Amino acid sequence: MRLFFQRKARLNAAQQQRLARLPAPHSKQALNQRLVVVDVEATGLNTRRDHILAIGAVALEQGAVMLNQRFYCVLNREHEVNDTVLIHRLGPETLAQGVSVEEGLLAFLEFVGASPLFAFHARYDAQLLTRECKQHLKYKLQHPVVDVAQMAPLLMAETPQQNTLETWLARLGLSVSERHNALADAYATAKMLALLLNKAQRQHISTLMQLQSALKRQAQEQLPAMF
Amino acid sequence: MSTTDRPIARTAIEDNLQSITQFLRQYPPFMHMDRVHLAYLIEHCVLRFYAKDEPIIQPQDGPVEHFYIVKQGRIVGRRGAEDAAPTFEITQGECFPISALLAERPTRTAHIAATDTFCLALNKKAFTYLLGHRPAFQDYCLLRISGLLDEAMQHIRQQAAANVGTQHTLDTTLGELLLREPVTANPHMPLYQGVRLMDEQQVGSLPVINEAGFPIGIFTLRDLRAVIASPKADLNQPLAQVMTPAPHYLTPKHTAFDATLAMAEHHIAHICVVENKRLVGMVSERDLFALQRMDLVHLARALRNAPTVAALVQLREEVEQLMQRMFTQGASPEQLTHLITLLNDHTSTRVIELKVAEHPAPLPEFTWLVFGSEARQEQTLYTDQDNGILFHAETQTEAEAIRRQLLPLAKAINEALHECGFTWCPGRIMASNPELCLSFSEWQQRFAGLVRETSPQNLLLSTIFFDFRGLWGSTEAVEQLRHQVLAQSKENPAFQRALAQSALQHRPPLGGLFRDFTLSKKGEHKNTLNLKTEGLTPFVDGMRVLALSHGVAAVNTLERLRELKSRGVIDALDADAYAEAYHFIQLLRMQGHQEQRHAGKPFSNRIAPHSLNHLDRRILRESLRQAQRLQNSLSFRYKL
Repeated sequence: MRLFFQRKARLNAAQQQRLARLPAPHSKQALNQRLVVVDVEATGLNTRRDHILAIGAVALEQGAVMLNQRFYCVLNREHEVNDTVLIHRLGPETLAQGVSVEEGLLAFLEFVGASPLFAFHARYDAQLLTRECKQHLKYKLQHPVVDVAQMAPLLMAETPQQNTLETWLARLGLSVSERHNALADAYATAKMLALLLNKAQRQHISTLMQLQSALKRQAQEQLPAMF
Repeated sequence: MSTTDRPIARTAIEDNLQSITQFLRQYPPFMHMDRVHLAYLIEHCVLRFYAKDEPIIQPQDGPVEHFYIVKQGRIVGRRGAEDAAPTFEITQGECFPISALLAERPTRTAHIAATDTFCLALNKKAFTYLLGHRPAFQDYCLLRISGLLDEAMQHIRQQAAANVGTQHTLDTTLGELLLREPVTANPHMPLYQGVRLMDEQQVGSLPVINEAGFPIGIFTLRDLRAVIASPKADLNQPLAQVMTPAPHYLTPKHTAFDATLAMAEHHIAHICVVENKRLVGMVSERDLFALQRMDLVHLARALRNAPTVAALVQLREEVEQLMQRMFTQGASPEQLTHLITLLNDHTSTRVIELKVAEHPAPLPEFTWLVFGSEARQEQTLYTDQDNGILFHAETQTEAEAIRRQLLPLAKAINEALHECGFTWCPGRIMASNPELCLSFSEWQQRFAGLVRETSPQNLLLSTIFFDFRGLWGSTEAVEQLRHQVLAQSKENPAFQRALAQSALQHRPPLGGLFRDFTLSKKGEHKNTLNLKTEGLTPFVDGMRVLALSHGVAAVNTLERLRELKSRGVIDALDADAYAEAYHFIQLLRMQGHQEQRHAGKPFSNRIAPHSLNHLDRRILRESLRQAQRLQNSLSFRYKL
């Protein structure tokens, strides 16, 4: 039973050192400090079983998308080609050129540093990343992860019927023509985040904690409607 | 190998860069930059979001720190809170604030997001690097505000050049043309010595200078002919007695074009070049020949000496061809309209001379007046006649008698002008119309009436008549009339206001949801706009109102504008923007005429903006916006 079998992390000495040097995440920072937007592509939607194939990330500073702070890696994994290949377009050949899972995750964590994470429908990305980091690096991902998909209805007057990245981008007049991969999606989400941070500031939300509590309030207010 | 250096990762990052690169590639100056430098630019950019009404840079922010490129959205410039219409508009692909960044100063105009807007912001260090290393980028930035306009002009000229052949430059300065030290004489030099000097030095003209080196006269081969032809030719007499005094001169900063114009205008073949009140050289017809500019002078001369109206008609074809060439060679619209008017003046003058000479009986003295675009010296090849006659009469009876004498002549002149291609004026603004063949006092009454009673009909006539000048005959009375009109309109706010109101009739075709062109919706003019009435007329009318209100005697629109600027009536920045906008619209109009001529189609002032390239379309929109701004300022000024 693979699920119960904890493999030993296969890190070499240099990687062990790098892992040890990773900074502790910030959780009480202002929103105009460095933030990282992430998007992952995986073999499927099951966050307990599926595997990450690629990670894309873009940083924001002072509310601006930093075009020189981009991260992208494809992980070298063998998996059965299934229907999801039509979405992520990562075929066996591409994956074979990727870096090892350990190296990819480690490099990603180095890129993230102490910055909080943002993602669209962040639960998916967060759960996959947490599980894979734990499994392959023995690393506990403790970075705050904020869902941009929840920020949007909080800060925007009208919400489109479908809360997807595509509909939001279209609504906000942001181009969606870019090729679909983890980096392009992270970049698109980052553009949207830049817009949302601007709106947040106007609503006097300027720190990560203020944002998180506003999101929590929103979730609670919506509860009755869901039942 | 770090993670992001893997080929697969690099591809994804390049894809990501690619979308921004492709975006930038659509716009100048980025379209002229290579991949490496574009990548450098993008690497040093951040993408910022600005909500509607949010300021991006403001005067109080201190020296500008970034170079911005609008990625998506729209930005407006406002100089003050009371400024109703934005000073400018910056849309997708455009950059700002170039001049403030170059001058390391704060912006003078607040740049404000007009809609939700994304901008790429390049830091100053990277901007400076690109400026130092990328010629295309540097050129673009150093041309500053005019950058776009120049680019468009360059493009248009290249297009025109493709039709004709090589490009020459009329912008060559006289300083560049001067090759040798001038051969000079002092006023006391005996004539025979002067002639010997000219022969030895192989020059066609001998400037005569005073002790300070300033040219007080010129002696040419033409003068020599006159001396020899006289029976009392004395070869010992000093040059001072035979030279042509007070010769025409220009400075080294003047261009070949200016020299050509002066030669055509004054019928001279040599021009002194003077710097700091010292003669520094001579430019002759032959020097300009090398630049193939002389056809203009010859044509002017041929027109002035044409033996018959039929000969004039033939020469008109050459006028068109010459204009086509000069357009190609890069003459500005202002230069061209000036030139066309100059050649038209020569044609009309010759027509009048020929018709006067043909007239069987002796004629009373008269002045031939021109109105409208001819008076403003803004004619294009596509033009009709607007003229009148002014004469002197002591009494009403005498006036009637003189009118009877002059009307048949006026009719003959109007007919001959029509033959020469100046079509009948549809409004009958022609000298053969008895209402436009008037004595001085009749013109005085007529003009006073136009200022006093502002009926719609009168206002329309004011817009034609109050751009006037004397073309042939004494101009003394003409200037008296002008003096009167300026004095009366300056004292009559009601007239000014009514004229301003009528200047708002021709609205620039902009508006609608997308702030784009509003075009004719149907009929043969579908999807077009009229560059003359919708683009130029707002400027022409606006400048007329302001000139008449402030006693500005100039008639040419750009001269009026310059004068109003120097008197502080129009803000200097606005004035420059208006002049550029006016230039560009005129340029597009003339380009259209050239193309129609090529295609053998009738002349038209209409243009389909969607047939223009992206850049021209944008500048046309911006130019029309300047017209809108001018009208808004008139409304404000005259409280309309």
